[in-house]
Amino acid sequence: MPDLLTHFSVAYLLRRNAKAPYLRATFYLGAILPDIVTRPVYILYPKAFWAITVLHTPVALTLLCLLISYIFHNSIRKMVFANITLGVYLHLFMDLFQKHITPEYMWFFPLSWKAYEIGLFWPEASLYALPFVIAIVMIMEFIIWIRQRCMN
Amino acid sequence: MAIDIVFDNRKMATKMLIIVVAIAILITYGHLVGNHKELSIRECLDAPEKYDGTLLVIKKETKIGNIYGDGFEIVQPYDNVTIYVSGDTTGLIKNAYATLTATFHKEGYLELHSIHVHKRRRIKFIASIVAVIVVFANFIRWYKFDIHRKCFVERCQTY
Repeated sequence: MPDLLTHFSVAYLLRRNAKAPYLRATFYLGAILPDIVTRPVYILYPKAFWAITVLHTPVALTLLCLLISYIFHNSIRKMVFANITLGVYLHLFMDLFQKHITPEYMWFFPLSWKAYEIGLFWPEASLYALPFVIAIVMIMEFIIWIRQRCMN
Repeated sequence: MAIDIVFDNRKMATKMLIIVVAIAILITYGHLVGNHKELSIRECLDAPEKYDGTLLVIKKETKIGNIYGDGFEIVQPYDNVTIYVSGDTTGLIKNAYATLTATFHKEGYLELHSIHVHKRRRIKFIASIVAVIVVFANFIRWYKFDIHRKCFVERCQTY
């Protein structure tokens, strides 16, 4: 996985201008969800690797998003589900470009155990890109700030 | 519409229970079949004759131990495993986490095929913690838990 700050920064860049900030918040939550439900458990208890790694698959994550959406009020539940799920799929899409010694992400689980990756960069490579991603975020924020000042 | 049945308030407990059971089934299936598909070093050491010459994929929280001229040790504390790996030690860092593929030999050592050292894992960990804090702070900024209705609601209508 790229680090969660990279996942969050990319999600932020994509949804910064969304009209409803409360939906942005759930989109950001979705963008980090696959790793926060798997990595801590796996690091603390490596023997649970196969049990936990299925929570990093599209089917399990979509079910989890649906479950999370039930703790939101009925009036916003559908939109919350859509945004968390979009965030999750952005996360999975970014993970797709990584490479490992053997592919790790089982896209079609439970129908298939075969893992697929495009394999462009190692997981830690995102750390080298992180300063640039943060710089883009800051430039974007600066441009928005300038625009708002001009409009006022 | 069918989609409304999924998201409305009717039979919430039943719907949540169905999802929890479905996730539990997936986890159980992953645990039982996944562990069966992937051989661990501990299993090889327990039956060395049976697994002699088997190619292993070693990725579960494996640390590099002592590094020698023609090989190194890997450590898996959770399985009480420390095993010698013969192969190129270029670029290895003691105590760094690594994933590797290697052939098991009945004499009780591994022969390295490929290895990837997870450098800067601690920095990645810290960066991830920062992201989690930012995302949850942002979440709390826009949502509050309504104890009366037992669900999260927007702090204010924004549009």
